[in-house]
Amino acid sequence: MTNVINQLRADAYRLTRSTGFYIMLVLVVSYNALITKTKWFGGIVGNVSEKASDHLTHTSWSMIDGVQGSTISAGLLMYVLMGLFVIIIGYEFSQQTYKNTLISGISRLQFILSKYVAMLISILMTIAVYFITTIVTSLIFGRRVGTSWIHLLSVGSSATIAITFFISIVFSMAILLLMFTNSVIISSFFIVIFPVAVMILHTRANWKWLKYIDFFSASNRISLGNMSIVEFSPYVLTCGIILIVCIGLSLLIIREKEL
Amino acid sequence: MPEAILNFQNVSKKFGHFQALDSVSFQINRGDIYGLIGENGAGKTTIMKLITKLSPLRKGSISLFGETSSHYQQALKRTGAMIESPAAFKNLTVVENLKIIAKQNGLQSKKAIDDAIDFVGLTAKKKTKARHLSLGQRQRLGLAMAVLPHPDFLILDEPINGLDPAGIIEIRHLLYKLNHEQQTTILISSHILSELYQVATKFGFIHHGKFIKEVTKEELDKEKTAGITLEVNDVSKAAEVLDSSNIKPFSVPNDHSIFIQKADLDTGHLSQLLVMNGVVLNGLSKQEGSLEQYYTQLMKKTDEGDQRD
Ligand SMILES: Nc1ncnc2c1ncn2[C@@H]1O[C@H](COP(=O)(O)OP(=O)(O)OP(=O)(O)O)[C@@H](O)[C@H]1O
Ligand SMILES: [Mg+2]
Repeated sequence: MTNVINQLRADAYRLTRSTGFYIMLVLVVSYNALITKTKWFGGIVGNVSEKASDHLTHTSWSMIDGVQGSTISAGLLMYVLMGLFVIIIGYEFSQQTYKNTLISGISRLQFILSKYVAMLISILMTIAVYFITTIVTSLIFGRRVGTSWIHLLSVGSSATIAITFFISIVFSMAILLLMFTNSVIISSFFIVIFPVAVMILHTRANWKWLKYIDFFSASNRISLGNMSIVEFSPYVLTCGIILIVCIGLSLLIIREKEL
Repeated sequence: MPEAILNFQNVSKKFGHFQALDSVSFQINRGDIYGLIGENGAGKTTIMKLITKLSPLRKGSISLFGETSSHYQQALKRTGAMIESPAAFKNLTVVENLKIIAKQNGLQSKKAIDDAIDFVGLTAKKKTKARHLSLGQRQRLGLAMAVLPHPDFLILDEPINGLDPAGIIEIRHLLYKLNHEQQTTILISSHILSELYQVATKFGFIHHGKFIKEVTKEELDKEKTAGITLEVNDVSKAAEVLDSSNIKPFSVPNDHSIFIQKADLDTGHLSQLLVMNGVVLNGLSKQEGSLEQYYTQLMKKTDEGDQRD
């Protein structure tokens, strides 16, 4: 446990020292401010009900509309968040510093877990910043809340948590791919291609089971209030299984690897 | 009984069909500065990667601080290593890179970082990004990273690579200091024996993945003493004389000289013996043995032995 915490502290320190991280935050804030100000939404969208889409296109946005519009537009964040993957785990391999890290006495399992947790926390922070920007921008433009503050905050935070969790699952698959291919480029590319690929397959191929990994459609429904807890649980289950499988396989590979 | 820090037993390693290590066994005791000598591709780095678990062990056993490699709990925490090229985050400065090592190892002290930088002579480059360091400076940063947590066992893979002569002397001095003041046990590799001669207390020779010989510094000093060169008119006759008087071993570098690999012969007696048997002696000189000569001869003997097998 101390090993994991020490490693998390080292990674946190490294993030705060990298210009890339700050550029990333600036991009996230600007992107969201733009969405909220211009009432534009879209990008890599996933499924949105027509009713919601109509509503967002034709009304002047309240804060809750801002949060929903931002949720729908979150897919494009993958291009920015990919940077977290590169900094937190990619650099360890491209600059061979994993040698120092692993010799420090951390076990392989602790290493993989600490990397996953470091990404999870930094994604959470970034997504929180994203939605906070919605609220701040709305306040600047003097928009009304559109619902109760409590409801707004609860929608905002559940969207934050759901999106973070979903994205972290994509990252866990990217970790596995990194272990398997040794390529930071391939695994980061996977991160941006995943949502697009799933979305296209989901709409074209009509495979029912795909909906459980069509994360952005799911978070849209959460944000728009179209998903109950009961409906949400199979997603959690699917994600949990993917996470365990990816971390388990990554562990097996890294244990057997010539480093 | 000396306390064993590392015990390497019958370790073999294959990469595909290539046998990189063939049943290697050796032991490093507390306080040793153990020099691992071998040509390029001999298997030095492979040994170090197996110890630090960067390479999975499949055959044989390794124990470090009494823990076997499948269950290292504390052993790696007590070990510092720089294996192959030193690795650092290129966009971070010297201090920042060391801070990361400190955090990973749960060290709090800021002073320890300054001390490590000072120790390897990088103080002037503290704020320089790793990508802008020279080869020798990067090597020093790697060394600072390895010694920062005050390991009890330090593994250095060709640390002298890329250092200038002054740097080599400095590093030698640093290792001596670590060994004497902090009782650090050190494993250090090189393909040049004379590089390690001044610093190591024990030498292990590895050749084509086989561990061929271990000598202490004293034994090495004794064994390397080269011997006596004779300049004669008739080498075959001289060889016969030496043979019949049981003076061995000797070699014949060319058709007018003989080299006796023994330094403690009575030269007066030797010249008398030759002359009395009708050999014209044109010259006789004692020769200090060189390390390189010792090393090349050792390799030669091993290769010849291999061919006989
Ligand atoms: N991951 C690997 N896959 C295949 N072969 C390998 C691998 N690692 C090492 N080898 C081979 O094993 C042999 C020993 O390599 P090693 O790196 O241990 O040599 P070395 O003694 O450190 O040499 P050098 O002085 O050049 O550093 C070499 O022939 C090398 O090609
Ligand atoms: Mg090597």
